[in-house]
Amino acid sequence: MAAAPKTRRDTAEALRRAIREIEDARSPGRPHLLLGVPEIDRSLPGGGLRPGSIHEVGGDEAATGFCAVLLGRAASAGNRTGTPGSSLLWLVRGDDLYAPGLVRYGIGAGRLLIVSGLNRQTDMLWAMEEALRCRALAGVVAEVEAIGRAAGRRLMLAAEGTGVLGLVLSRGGGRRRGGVGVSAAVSRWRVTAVPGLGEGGGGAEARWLVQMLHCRGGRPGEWLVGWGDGDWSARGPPPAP
Amino acid sequence: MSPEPTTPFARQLPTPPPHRILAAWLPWWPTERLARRHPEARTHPFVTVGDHRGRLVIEAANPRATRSGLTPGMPLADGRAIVPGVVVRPSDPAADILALERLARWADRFTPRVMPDRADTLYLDIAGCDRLFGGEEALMASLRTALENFGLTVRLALADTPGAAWALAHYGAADPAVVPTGTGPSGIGSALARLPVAALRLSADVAAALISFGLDRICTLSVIESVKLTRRFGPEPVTRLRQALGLVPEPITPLRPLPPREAHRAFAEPISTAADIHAAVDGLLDDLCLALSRSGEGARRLHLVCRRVDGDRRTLTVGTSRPLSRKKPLMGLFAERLDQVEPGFGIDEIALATDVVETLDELQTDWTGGAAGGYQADEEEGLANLLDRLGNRFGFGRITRPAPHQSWLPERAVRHHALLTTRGDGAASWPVGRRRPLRLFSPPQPVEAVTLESTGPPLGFQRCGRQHRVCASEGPERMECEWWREDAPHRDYYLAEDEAGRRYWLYREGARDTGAASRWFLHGLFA
Repeated sequence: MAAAPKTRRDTAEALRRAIREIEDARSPGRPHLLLGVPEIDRSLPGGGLRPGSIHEVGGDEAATGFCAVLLGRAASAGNRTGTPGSSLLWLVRGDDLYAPGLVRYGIGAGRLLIVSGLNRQTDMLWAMEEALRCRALAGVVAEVEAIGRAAGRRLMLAAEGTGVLGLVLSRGGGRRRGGVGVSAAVSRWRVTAVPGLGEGGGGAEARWLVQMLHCRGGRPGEWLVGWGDGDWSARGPPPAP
Repeated sequence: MSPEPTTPFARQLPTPPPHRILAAWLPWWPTERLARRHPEARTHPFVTVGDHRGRLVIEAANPRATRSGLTPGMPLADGRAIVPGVVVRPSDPAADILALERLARWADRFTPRVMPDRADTLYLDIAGCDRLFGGEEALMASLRTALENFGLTVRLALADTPGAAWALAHYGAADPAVVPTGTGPSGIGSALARLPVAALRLSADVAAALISFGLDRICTLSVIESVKLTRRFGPEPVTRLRQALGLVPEPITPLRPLPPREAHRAFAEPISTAADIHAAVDGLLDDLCLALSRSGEGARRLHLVCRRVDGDRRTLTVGTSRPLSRKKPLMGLFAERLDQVEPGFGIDEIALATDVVETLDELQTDWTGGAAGGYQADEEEGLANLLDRLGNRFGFGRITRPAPHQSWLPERAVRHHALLTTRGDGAASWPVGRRRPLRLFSPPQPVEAVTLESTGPPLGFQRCGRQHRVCASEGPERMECEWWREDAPHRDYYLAEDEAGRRYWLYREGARDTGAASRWFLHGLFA
């Protein structure tokens, strides 16, 4: 019986799979988090965001919306599969997060907890690490400017033990880090708004340019995404720069 | 056979716990208090004076001055004529009372129920506390020694009522005077019989009136019917007599509200290492949690008070988001902060008290001691532990659980509930079909906006010195205040998107028909 022809591509694929299995074993119990846009999910290792890890999201105000979407998905995924954790925690630097606006992203009242006024970076990181160690949560968002390698590694270790989704939302443009940098995050995203209100039926949806700058084991790319009422979909190729 | 006549009132009422009141009278308090800072008050004739209608009048005198004939109420000029070298200080009654309060707080090492009274007396309710000191005599002796080490003269009396203790402390022949417990009104009456009527804490004019009628001893009052006494002298003598005899209850109000639960440890050798403090707190929590779980209560707030050798004290306060009577989570909360206790030269006493307790809903536990009921109970527990840690570090006020509130104005539509009170306003919900921003500015930022017509959508606006051209907009959404808030004008909200695709929530305020210039505000940002 002849073995399957071993090409370099197959070997690489097998190794990747082995690595992914090792990594998955470290965050047991929770399935991968589907974003819901097939085009993006296909580019992610395992077909979705890995739970129990840290993801960095930058960009303009659309990044807040992107985080809200991911958080809402994490909460509902927990409900659907019966794994523990359905509460969400948002660590806000100021106090401007407006809960009624989050309802459209699937974050209803009653499951969200907000800690506001965390101006100091150390406080924010401490709170995020504590939260990532808590199995009762589905996801945590921290509005941190940028996290260093050591801090990110700590957060990763905390998240791997519990399977909580950790999102680092860097407000303030996200331009400063320029997309490449040193970080322990599993994936790094940049989400910016794209004009779209005037087009389409009713103009009810927001359009975002979602750029995956880096993803461990994934293929970076960028997609134009429209967010409508409670769901989203890819809207064609990204506009030419 | 005849049935027993039973009425619901025949049931024995529980007897209130007996009181044992120790009155400590400090006859020279104002001057001896000052003597701590002015040593000459002890060695020289010394008086404090106050201003009475332009004249300086002696208000308190120390023993030396009193022996020389200086008495309170005497003009200072007369006093100087009698004792030319008298040392004079201004009197400060408010400071006297404050200092007595501090002394009362110090005296809580004998009993938690201490009340200062009338600027020179302390009441200590030592019921149940005397055993810790080896009996009532030993407690009184140790109180007297401690006060005398402070340089204070004290007269002590012990009785079942505050009135009797006060009378014996001020006018009794013996020091300490003790009325044995449980003798009842007759026993107290015989102990007080030979004392002057002023010992009943009467006001000066009533006492003077009684004496002018020849009623100068307490025993003479009990001969007369109380109705006649009241008719002639008002209610005061009868009330005070009945209070002293224990016929009318006279509660003492402790300076410090009683902590429902307390545990404390005193150390023969002061402790200072972190491990020792940790072990001590661990033991205290054992005691406290046992007491709490016996009474089915849980603590919401705990204070750890460390008394240091140098007299200073350090207090750590820890709050919890739900009543707790188990040691592990409480120890976790304290363990994080024990390094804030600076032991200095050592800590010789640690007390742990909880002043906010709530009834605990018992959790069913499985055989390992974990919460039964699957992961849901576990999850609540884990979340509560997280919130405790966050709350103790950042303050519980910072953690909120947003819930809908019925109001049309966006900034009032969120009620930030305190922790774990998940039940919100049942009827309220956020508008589902309406768009609401993710970020809301409070207060709204005033912006300059350009419109084609006075009631039309914005075409552009200026914010932070930058021009934004509005490419598309949605609106208006009219929002009015509730009718009972007449002052606020209505608002027309627009969702505006600029050329970069950023989306803003702008509103125009008021000015529907009046023709006045309308004002524009930026209220929020959409994603």
